[in-house]
Order: sequence, then structure tokens, then C-alpha cells
Amino acid sequence: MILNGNEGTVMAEPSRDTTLDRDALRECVRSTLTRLSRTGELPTLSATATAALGVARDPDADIEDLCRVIRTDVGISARILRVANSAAFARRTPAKTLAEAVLTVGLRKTCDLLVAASARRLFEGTSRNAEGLWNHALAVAIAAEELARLTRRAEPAVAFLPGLFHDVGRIAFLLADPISFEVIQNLVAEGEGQTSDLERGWYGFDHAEAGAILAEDWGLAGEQCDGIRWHHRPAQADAGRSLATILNAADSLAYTMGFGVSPQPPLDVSVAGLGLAAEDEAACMARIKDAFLRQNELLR
Amino acid sequence: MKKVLTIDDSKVVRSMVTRHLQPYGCEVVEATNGQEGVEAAKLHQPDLILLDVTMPVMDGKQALAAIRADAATKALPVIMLTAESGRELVVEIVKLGVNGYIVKPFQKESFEKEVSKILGAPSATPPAPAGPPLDRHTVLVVDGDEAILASARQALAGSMQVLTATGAEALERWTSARPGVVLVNVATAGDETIGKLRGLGPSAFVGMAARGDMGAHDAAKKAGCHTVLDSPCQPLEMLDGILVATAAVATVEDQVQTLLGTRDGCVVLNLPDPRSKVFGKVLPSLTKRLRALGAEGGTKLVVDMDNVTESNADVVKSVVAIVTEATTAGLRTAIAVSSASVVESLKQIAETQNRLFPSRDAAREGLK
Repeated sequence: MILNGNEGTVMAEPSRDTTLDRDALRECVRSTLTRLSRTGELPTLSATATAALGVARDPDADIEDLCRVIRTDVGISARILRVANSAAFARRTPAKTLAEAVLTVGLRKTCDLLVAASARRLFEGTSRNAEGLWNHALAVAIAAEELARLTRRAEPAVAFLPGLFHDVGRIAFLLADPISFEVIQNLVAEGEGQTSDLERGWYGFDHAEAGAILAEDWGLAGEQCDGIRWHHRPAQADAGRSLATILNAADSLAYTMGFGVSPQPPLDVSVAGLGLAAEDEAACMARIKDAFLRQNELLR
Repeated sequence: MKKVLTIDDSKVVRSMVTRHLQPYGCEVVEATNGQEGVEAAKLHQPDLILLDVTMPVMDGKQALAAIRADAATKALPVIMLTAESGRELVVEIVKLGVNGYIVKPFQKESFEKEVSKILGAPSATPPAPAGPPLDRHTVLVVDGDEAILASARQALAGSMQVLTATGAEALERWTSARPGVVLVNVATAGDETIGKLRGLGPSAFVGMAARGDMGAHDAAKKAGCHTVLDSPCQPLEMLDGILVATAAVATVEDQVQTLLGTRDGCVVLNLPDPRSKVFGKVLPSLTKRLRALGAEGGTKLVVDMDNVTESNADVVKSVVAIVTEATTAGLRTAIAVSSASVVESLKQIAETQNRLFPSRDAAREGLK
């Protein structure tokens, strides 16, 4: 197996054969993105978001653990209070303390929002189309959560973050190498190929692979990373097959709802794999739209 | 103008090379395998060859050997492009005589570091054409036959002026009109005229070549056409081709300009195929421009859909978005549409059902 370019044996599709292949690919993705990046570093989340992810992973964590993390960041503390006191949670009296706010929003959802707020800053680092890329990410995150709830194929609580980060590999490409990003976008627009294929032709791996590896670095669970890795080809997923199927459908729904990142949706995303009834799909989209408007406002 | 030959079987790599060479203001010639590359090197005598290693038909190593073995090409500078894992191979190839190598995927800095050793430093900005800006509302048709002219007039009615020229007259015509778009009949205009026209300024070049004549299509691309269309083609295909070519040389705002014209006090939007990939990229800037037109005091908009003959959800969605935006901007809007199926689909939609007219003239009349 070769990892990039077209010398030797080109790996047209990331392999899932062996741990050795996976490790070599991970090393290739890291070294390529690091080499291309002007800062010589991979994209990172804020310390608060990373700590929140640690709390989310810890089955013994409680509200006080999360409050300790939130208190280190005044801006985030204020944001969580604002979320808890928003109309969505319909409290009779406003939450005055951080603990009350976290209790209202829920431990897991608070973690999600902390990470999303940090991710938003990451997206804002891209000079072009930051708003469009962010809207797409948030729409897919909310759609994934909604579809997981509706289909019961995955735990809704674990679907939001993979949705948010499903295309974070594209952000990494854009941050590291804006010219190549633009060239690939133009080739797609000219009908010269699909984004993932063109990325593999240039980088040797696609944004889904790069996104999964970044998500691993940031501490998302294996199932979530697997879902991100295979969101364009759910049938090839392993532990995250259900999540990958949901992300694939969520990606498609986001395009249908006008939250796409290119003029046409990729050919390999579809909601058909979930077998939803038309009325369920329509009701689902209405809920997603409502949640998107609410959460996007709160994350500003 | 310096000339660079890129030899690579991958379209995406050739496109990356071409894009990264833009600051050098050079002409780029493409070849898709070693054998084609060796022939192109003899023919074009480029100032630099960028050579891939692994290719079908003839690989980079064999191509390099052939280039070095021929007196006509042996002195040409060659930079190899290699993947990370191909570095060892490069050591071997260096012995055959290369001037440098670049690891793929590359970014601007690493590319320029090697290429500048041969071509010199890139200009701070791409060489700007002399003279006033191009007229985005004018298309010059060079050596066009009746079918090309008819398609152009039908496709561009309302938003662009169509000028014609033949042979050497085309250069003079370009200089006086400075058209944003040049439509050229490849079979009769020839490489030389296209090359000279391209040297005059950054117009968008659309080549027209006989359907199925792959040789003519390739020749048009090599001569520098940004896109090549089958001739004859439908007006809508021509409009899409113009948008694709414009994207290669101009901003999205410039593309929007090619779609908008003014007639009888109405702003006319010449709608391309809303299902096309290029249109999706233009739509956000188009709606932004409509908002600006409203703010600038525009009052009437004709959405000319006469070229659109089929409808689907994308078509309806795009038209509704445009009408909604225009209405919000204070523009009274009429839609000119003659296709029965398109009319039928727009009749179902509240935003469009009362704005439909069977022709451009009727739409303008309807707004009076």
C-alpha cells in the first residue's frame, strides 16, 4: 500500500484490512497535513472543549466536574447560562448558577454545545465560506441527532458530535492548503469528478479519513470516529456503521434543506438507506430547521 | 510569455500545477502520459517541464530518458513530481538528470521554491492586461457558422451583445470591443489566432468543436480555451459553457454581470440551467446583486427562462429564491418562460404563478 500521490501502488480507497494499514494511513494523514500547514500543526479544539469531551467520555463524571471545566472560561459560562435560560428550555425562573444551567440543558448536551462553540471558532479560521461550512456542519449534527432518535439506529446523544465533525477534514484541507481546496471545488463544479475521489487523487486520502483521524486526536469515541470515516460509504464501516448510515442520510437532508456546501449534493449521500416514510422525513426536516435556528443563534 | 509543460496522467494534479503557475503568467501545455509529453516537449520547446513519475503508456523515468536522448530537448529543464513515498525513486532519477523535484501534494511555498529556480520569481500579481476593463456584456464570436451564431443569439438575448469577426479581423475587433467572452470555432479559427487572441487579455474563451471530434476538442484545450463545447449545441449548453469559462478568468461577481443586462428600463436576468453545477456557485452572488440593484433604485426585473426547457425541483427552488430576493429588494418581477413543462411546474408555486409570461417581450410589457 502506498499512501499518497501516484507512485507505486496507489491506495484509491482507504483500507480497513489491518491495524498496520490503519496506523500507516493515520501517520500519512498527519504528516501530510502537518507538512502542508503553514503553522506545522494540525487543527485543534480549545482546551475547554477538549476537557468537556473528557467529561463526556467519563461514565462517572457529574455536573460539578463539568462546571469546573466551564468555569475556566468566562465567555463559555455566560453562553451556557444563556442557553439554559432560552425559550427552548422554558424555565419558570431563570437559572442563576452554572450548576442549575447544566442541570437544565443536560450534561451531555452541555458538552456538545461547548465543543460546538469551540468548533465554530475553528470554522471561522477559514477565510472563505466559513458561514456556509459551519451551517452545513451544524445542520448535519442536528439532523444526525434527530435521525438517530427517529430510527433508533444509534444513541441520539452520540450522534451530534460526529455530525458536527463529519466534514472537519475539509476544514483541515482548507486551512492547510486553500489553493488546492479551490482547485478541487472548481473541478467538481466543472463535472470532473466527486470531491472525495479528487481528494484521494491529490492527497492520497479523502476528507472523511482526515476528519476521522482529527476526531480520534480530539478524543471522540471509536464508534463516532468510524462513523465520520465512512459517512460517504457506510457499508464499509465497522463499529460505526449505524452512525455512518445516519450521517450519510443527515448529509443528504442538509443539502435538501439548503445547507449544502456545494451546488449539488455528493452522489453518494442519500436518505433512502433509512427507509423513512415521506411524512416522517418532512416532520423530521421541520424539527431540524427549528433546532438549527435556535442552536445557531445560541452559538453565535 | 514563458511556457511550461506539465506531464501527468492525473487531471487533478495537472489542474493544481496550472493553478500554482498562475502567478508566473506563463502558458501551460498539458500532456497525459510520457509519450505524449516527449512529443509535446519537442513541439513546444517549453521553458520548464514538470514530470510525473508513474504514468501509463510511458512512465516519467522513460520519458526523461527520451527527453535527454534527443538533441532537440536534452537541455530543457525538468522538475519531477513525486509522492512522499517516491523519494527513493527520485534519487535514482536524479542520476538521469533532473533540475529538481517536488513532493505531492504540494502547497504554494514548496512549489514556488523549486519552480522559481527555473522561471525566476513569480510576479507579485498576475500580469494585468493593458487597457480598460473588459466588457462583460459583450461576446465576440470568431469564425462562427450560422448554427453557432443562432445558439449564441438565443442564449444571450437580453444580457449580452453578440459581435462577430472572422480570421485576422478578430484581433482588431477584440481590441476595439474588449469582450468578456470569446466564442471561437476551433475548426476554422486555428491555434495561432486563438493564441494571439488569448495574449490580448483575460477574456473567457469558449471553444466550439464538432460533436465527437476528440482531436478538435483536445486541440482547443491545448490552444487555451477554458472550456470546449460540442457544435452545434443548445443555447442553454452555451450559456453554461460561458459561465464555466468565465469562472476560469474572472470573479463570481463578473460571472453574475454576464447574466444581467438592461432592456427597456428592465433589468434582464438571463437564467442559465438552474440544474447546472456552475449555476449553484453563482446563485448566492446573484441574489446579493439583486439586493444591490433594489437598493440602487432598480424597479423591474425580467427573469428570462426562455432557454430553460425542462423543470425539476432545483429549477423551481432557484427561481423561487430569485423571485423572493428580488421582491424583497423592491423589484417588480416577471418571468419569461415558453416551455410548457416549466410553466406547469411554476404555476403550482405561489411565488411564481402570477408572474409568468410566454415571451421576453410579453414579460417586459407586463411590467409596464
